Amino acid sequence: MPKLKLPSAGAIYFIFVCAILFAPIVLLVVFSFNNATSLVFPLKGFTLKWYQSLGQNSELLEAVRTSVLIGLGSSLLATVLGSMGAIAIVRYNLPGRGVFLAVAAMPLVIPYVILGVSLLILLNEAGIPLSAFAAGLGHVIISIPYAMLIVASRLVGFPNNLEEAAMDLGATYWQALTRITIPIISPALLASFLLCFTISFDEYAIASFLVGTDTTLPVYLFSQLRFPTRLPMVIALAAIVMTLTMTVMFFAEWLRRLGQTSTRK
Amino acid sequence: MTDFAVELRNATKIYASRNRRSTEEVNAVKEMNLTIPPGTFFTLLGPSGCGKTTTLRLIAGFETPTSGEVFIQGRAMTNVPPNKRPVNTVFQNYALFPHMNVARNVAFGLSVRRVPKAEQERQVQDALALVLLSEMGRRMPTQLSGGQQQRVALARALVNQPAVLLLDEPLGALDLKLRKAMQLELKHIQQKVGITFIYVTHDQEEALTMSDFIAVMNKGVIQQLGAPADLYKKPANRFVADFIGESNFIQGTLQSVNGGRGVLQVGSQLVSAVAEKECPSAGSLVTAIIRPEKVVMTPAAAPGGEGLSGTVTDIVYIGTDTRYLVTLVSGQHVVVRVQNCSGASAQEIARGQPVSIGWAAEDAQILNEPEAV
Repeated sequence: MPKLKLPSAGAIYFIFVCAILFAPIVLLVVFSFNNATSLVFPLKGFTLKWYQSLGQNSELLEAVRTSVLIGLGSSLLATVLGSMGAIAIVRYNLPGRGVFLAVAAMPLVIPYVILGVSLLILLNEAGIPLSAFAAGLGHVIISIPYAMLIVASRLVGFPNNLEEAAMDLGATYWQALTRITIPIISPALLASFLLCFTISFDEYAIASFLVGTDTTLPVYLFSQLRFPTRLPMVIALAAIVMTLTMTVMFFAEWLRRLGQTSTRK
Repeated sequence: MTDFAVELRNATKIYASRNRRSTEEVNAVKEMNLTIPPGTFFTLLGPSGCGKTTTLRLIAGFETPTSGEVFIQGRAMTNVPPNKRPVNTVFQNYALFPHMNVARNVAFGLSVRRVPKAEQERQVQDALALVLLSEMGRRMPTQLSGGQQQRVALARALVNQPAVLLLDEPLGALDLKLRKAMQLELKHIQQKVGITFIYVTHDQEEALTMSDFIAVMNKGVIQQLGAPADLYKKPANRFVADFIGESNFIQGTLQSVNGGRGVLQVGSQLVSAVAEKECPSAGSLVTAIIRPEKVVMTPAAAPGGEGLSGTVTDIVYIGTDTRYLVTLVSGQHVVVRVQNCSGASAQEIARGQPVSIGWAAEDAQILNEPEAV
């Protein structure tokens, strides 16, 4: 029987939390369409000029290009390495498995600023110049735990004797991997790739230390905050990035769940 | 020289089971020597944890023996990986590839061996026809019932024409009626294709129904190997007698052994049973085993001669048979099974009635193990 006459305390609390979480974002989007440089009420009228100005900013487009390249490269590498780690953890009863898992998951709990500084020192010592490539390496490190956990959860979901069955039928380990394991975990691989991409695309701290003279989008955004007149443009850009990121994340999560339900009976 | 389909020589498997505190060694298979003749339906039977699945995995190549050797068709296979062995496995949970349809599942083994496409299709059709699933090639595994998935798994293995087919409790997940049907069908398929089947089960009835030979295992050791009827009629020890069918264990003092017959004193009464060569010497405390359906029960107390006096303490009607629980004067319990023939007089026996039980000496057997007092 439907009995939603009075909203319960839980429902009120939920709405309250949502409001706190999303009000600033909604405000941001609202102001990105406001025809004024300062972010104050009352609104001065609707405009798309901030969005239009984005397309004419070559510096910005260059930063977007760098971010996309770093994102694609680092998420690809993180997904490959993370999957290998996941297979090792889930499929083999290796000694020191717990230690390996703890070390691999460490970037989740280390502050990115500290990781950025330490990588800066390391790369200097190793003689690797600061560049988009270096920032990409940093992003691989922070993305691996996510990739590993997503792929591992998928591997746990299907019985490992499918690989045994394949080998029993004459397949080599490599054939079992490419014809059985990878097709079955492919939704998780894609989900991992997308999530790692958004992590890299949004990441500021590590990139700001390692990117050198190249500029990623978040680094560019921060640099533009010094100029008050460019604030609305930055906000418009932020609104676009946020929308894209959220879309990709929802898609990735949908993929992950899709994959998880399809092998269950 | 005819080679055995499978031969194990002193095969031993020790697992190191790691837990937080210590590493414990589990000896799953102990010094096993086993030869399996080609073309037979061979069953490894035993309770869970007896090492039967480990034995199967040693043959399949998923495990390598800690020591000892594995031969398949006379060739040493001890360190050969599973994909290079002429054996295929039907797994307990079927292990069908969920992202492939039935036909592609069945064709998997052929395709990794690069059999031409047309040939693959023909063989897949034959294999599906063999398991009566000709129309199901385009279905996905999740769209099939448990029994159908089982058949697909069987076809997927048989299509490769292995020297030996290994089956790991393949009927475990099916309901009783389907199990019975599949048991007969499996036996039928085995006879038709002539491939050696090695079947693992904990279900003694299933083993008796299908097998040419059964190896009864317990604690990593084969307790007895033989044809089903031999195991049932002449169990080698208490474990086999207890595990296969129902047995009465009757303790008594061995009075005399003469010409393969032993006379057993139970309480103050005497019964006889088969005594093998290595039987304990006269005067020792021994156990005789007798199947419930071999016990003869008569209403009156026995006058003097052979037979044991007792009282019927329980009667259970189970359709074809009636089971009587008889408590002997010595306090031991004996189960008696009487078939419910038309006009059976056995029904006249009521609870609480004094009876006398006996048996033909050749139906009972004295165990070759001294009784711990």
